[in-house]
Amino acid sequence: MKRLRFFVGLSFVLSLSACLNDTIRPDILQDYTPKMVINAVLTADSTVSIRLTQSLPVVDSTYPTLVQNATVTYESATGADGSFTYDPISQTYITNKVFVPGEIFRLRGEHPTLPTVVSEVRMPDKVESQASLTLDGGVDTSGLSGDLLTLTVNDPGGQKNYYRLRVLYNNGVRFIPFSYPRADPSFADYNSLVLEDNSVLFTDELFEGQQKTILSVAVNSLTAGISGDKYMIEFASVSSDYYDYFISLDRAIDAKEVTFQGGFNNAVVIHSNIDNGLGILATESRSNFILR
Amino acid sequence: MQKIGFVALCLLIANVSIGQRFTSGTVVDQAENAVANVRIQERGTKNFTFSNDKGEFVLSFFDGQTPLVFSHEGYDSLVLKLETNSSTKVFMTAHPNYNTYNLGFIAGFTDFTYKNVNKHLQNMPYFLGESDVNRQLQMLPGIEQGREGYSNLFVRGGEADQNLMMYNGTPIYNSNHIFGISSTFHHRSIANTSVYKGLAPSKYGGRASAYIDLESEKNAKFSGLNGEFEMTPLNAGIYLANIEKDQQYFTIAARRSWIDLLVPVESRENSLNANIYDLQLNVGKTLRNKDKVDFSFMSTRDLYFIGLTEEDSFGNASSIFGLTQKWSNILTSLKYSTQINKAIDVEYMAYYSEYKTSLEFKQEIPTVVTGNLGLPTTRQEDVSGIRDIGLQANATYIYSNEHLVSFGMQSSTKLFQVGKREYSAVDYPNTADVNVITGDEKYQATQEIALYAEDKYRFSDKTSLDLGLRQILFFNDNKVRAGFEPRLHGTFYLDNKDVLKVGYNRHNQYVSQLNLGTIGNPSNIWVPATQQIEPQKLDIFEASYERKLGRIFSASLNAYYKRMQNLNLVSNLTDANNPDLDWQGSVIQGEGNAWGVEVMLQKSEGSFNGWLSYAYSKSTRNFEDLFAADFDFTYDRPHMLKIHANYYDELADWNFGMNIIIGSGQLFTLPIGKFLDNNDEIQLQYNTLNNYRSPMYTRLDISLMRLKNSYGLDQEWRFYLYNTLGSRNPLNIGVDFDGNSNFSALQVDRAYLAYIPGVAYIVKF
Repeated sequence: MKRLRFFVGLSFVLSLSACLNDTIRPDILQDYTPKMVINAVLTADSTVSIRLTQSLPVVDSTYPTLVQNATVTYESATGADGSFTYDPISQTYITNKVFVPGEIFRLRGEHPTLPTVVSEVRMPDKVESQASLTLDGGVDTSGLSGDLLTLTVNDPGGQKNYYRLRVLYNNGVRFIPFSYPRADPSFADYNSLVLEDNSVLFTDELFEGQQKTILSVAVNSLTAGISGDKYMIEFASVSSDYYDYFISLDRAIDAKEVTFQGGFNNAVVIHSNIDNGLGILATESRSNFILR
Repeated sequence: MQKIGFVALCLLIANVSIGQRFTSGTVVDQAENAVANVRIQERGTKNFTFSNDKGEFVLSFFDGQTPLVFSHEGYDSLVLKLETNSSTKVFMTAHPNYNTYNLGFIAGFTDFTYKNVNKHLQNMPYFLGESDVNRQLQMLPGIEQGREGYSNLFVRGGEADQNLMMYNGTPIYNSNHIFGISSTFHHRSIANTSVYKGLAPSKYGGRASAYIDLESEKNAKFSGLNGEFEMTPLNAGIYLANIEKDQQYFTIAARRSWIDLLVPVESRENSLNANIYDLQLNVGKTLRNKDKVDFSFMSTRDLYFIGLTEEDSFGNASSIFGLTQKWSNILTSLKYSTQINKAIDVEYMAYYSEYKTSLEFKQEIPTVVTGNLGLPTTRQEDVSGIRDIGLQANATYIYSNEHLVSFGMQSSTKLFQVGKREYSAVDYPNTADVNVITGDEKYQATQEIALYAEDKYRFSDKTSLDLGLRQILFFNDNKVRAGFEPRLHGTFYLDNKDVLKVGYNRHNQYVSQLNLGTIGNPSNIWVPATQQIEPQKLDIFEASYERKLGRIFSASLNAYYKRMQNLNLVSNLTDANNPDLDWQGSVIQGEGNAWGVEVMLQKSEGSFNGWLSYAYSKSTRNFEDLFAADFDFTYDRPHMLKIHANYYDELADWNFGMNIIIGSGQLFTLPIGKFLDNNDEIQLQYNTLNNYRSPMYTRLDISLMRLKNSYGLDQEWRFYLYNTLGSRNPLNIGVDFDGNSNFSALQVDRAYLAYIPGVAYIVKF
């Protein structure tokens, strides 16, 4: 009995002494150099804009701010070069330059107090695609007949391609994106992602080099009675950086929901193609199909 | 099974003649320790052989008349006349001051019976007083514990799931109690631990990094009944062994937590409960025809329950919550060893191993009036597990004095339940009951078949070669994969009496464990290779140099390089935890490299003994989908100095032991900056993964044993103190943003383990 009491007492001591805590200030958090952050999705054959902000040390309690006095220039492989100017209304850097599919250019951002950033990107080639509409050609998720939208893509072989697809309907005033289900078998969990604007980002991994047909059925209750330009399909060939950025960003957002455990569960390195900086200079070549 | 084995044997040896006369046996010293590399020669002839690493020998083409000469540079030569077709234990006497350290075995091998003898591991300091085989291994160079305080094993920069731990030949799929701080084995249920840290004979397969073979006590120097009773703050345990030397054995070991038994039953059922147990039972017998039968059984279980009651404003229970987590192992095996003819020994084995884990959440609402129904109850249980059914035929064939061939066939049928979720909501008024099962309702089967052959070729007096091959076929997901594994090793006895060993191995691994938070977490999921998830593959090159130093010391130097392919990492913890989703979508695959140099100096004689080791190593990972560049492996520890010393004298009143570890700190991943993403949301910036190395790791553990004989019984009090100096070695580094979604007010917290006492009381009988 005496020994038993001893063990019970010791167990109590163990529970008190088992784990101690303190607060530390690791060196890597002290020596931080802020960086320029570029955020832009550049679409071929369209005017483009770039948003510049700056990063902060994680121990800083303030909110990251816009960078307004940077010098942003571009240099195209075709020999054309120029600069972006800051637009205080949109709070972005804009240019009149229109980049074309296949064009390679280098973007450079300079700032008096931040490290100079450089990013070289290529506008993806447009991929041959066609879209068609069959009225009441399908059955929607409610079991009602719905318009069938068909997109056919000729995927170039011998390379990994990345795409973005968005299907919109006209509510009489403007085009509204469908909440697009990843129902197509080529959109697996591991190679596709639904973005905030209801686009589906995906790779050609499961139909590489083939002609791919993607079907979708419009929701009857949303589109019944609408005439004229009834649907729009946005189909874009996007850069690998575009895909990698949003995939990693999605993981980073998910990781915030997880209790910090010190491993990689919370630590997601968000993809960047900005040398010496952060963020993304994403490019896409888009085709819009209006269906009526 | 016997027929299958026999067919395999016939196929493999069809062209080889058998039936020559031979004599065999084991060479031991006066303490019955094996003596390796003894030359056994028919006097006056050129017919000779050498004893192997375990002292065993077989001399074929033996005429039965000529005396045999047993010679070894460190032992008195013997001339004996042995019978043909017999097995003899031969005792040799070492020269005075001769160092008896065993220079045999392949590079990277360690055990505590043949190689690293006389280490008295019972004196080692143990965490919380729980004798633990894993903590013994953690003190060896190249084997790290991973997270501070845990009983996990990371071998030479490999992953925890790359170690195959076997108990009497049966794989165990979770060898941890208490979420990884204690192993599942009663210390007396293991008589010998052997570890292949990289290179391994072709008999071993299925994992990439290491093979850890735990053997129970099957024989003893003396016949009789013995045992011990042990009590620690966590467990009470008993061990009983009844052994008839060289004839039969029966051993049983059992432990159970006891503190929970002091808590009232009502509290255990409604508030808090935690209990663990493990049981190991082994029986064996040598039959009249010298065949042997061995049966082994092991069962373990952990159970944890937390119950909470919410009360309404009147103090009545409004909601009762219960969270139950449990996990268990069942292992059983039957082995039959027989001699098919004079030259061929075969061991047939069948085993079954099952690991099952579950997490149940239950909520009852007592305030809702339901008439004749029971309490409205919501219940969700996630279950996962693995079952492994193995059939093996392992044979050795004496082709000649120079060639000893091992070969066999091994089949492993693995059944996976990656995740099953049972959800029910019943007895809610005006609502139909809901009972839903999602995920893997049934186990999914895979099949792994391996054929292997290895020739241990004594090329010359100075050279021994192991030339092995292992061929695996893996069936899963309507796909057959083939794996080809060369297993090559050379041992070179140098003129200066030192030994040089070099080798190359390939290992394929068709099963992985997904880490869902922390290594050792019982909910970590075992998964197979699939069409989408490639099997892990590892190539290792290793060289070793061993020498004896004086009479009582020995030293070894090992250098290795290994390349790992198709490593698995969970990229989305939330999805991987969800049985409704395909786990493959949450897994990314990558590569890794590891290399290192290990030096070990050991003393194996006298009352005061132990070892000192230093390892310099580097281990990196590359997961393209996670991060564009190489990054350091989480448990990469470039410098690691370990010292284990103990004083053992069974006649002394006090014995003691000590562990010292000094080395590189552990890696953690911390955010260094924050920035706005494409949607103007704040995101954290990580410059790389594992970017913060904690300060130098230092730890001193001590143990003190009080030996006493009372009432005719040997009693021991063992006192332990973990991290005696109170070093702040982080158990975890936590980043706390104080609930602020803008990630301000960052605080980095460090948890560490210090001054943790342990005690054990043992009565031997």
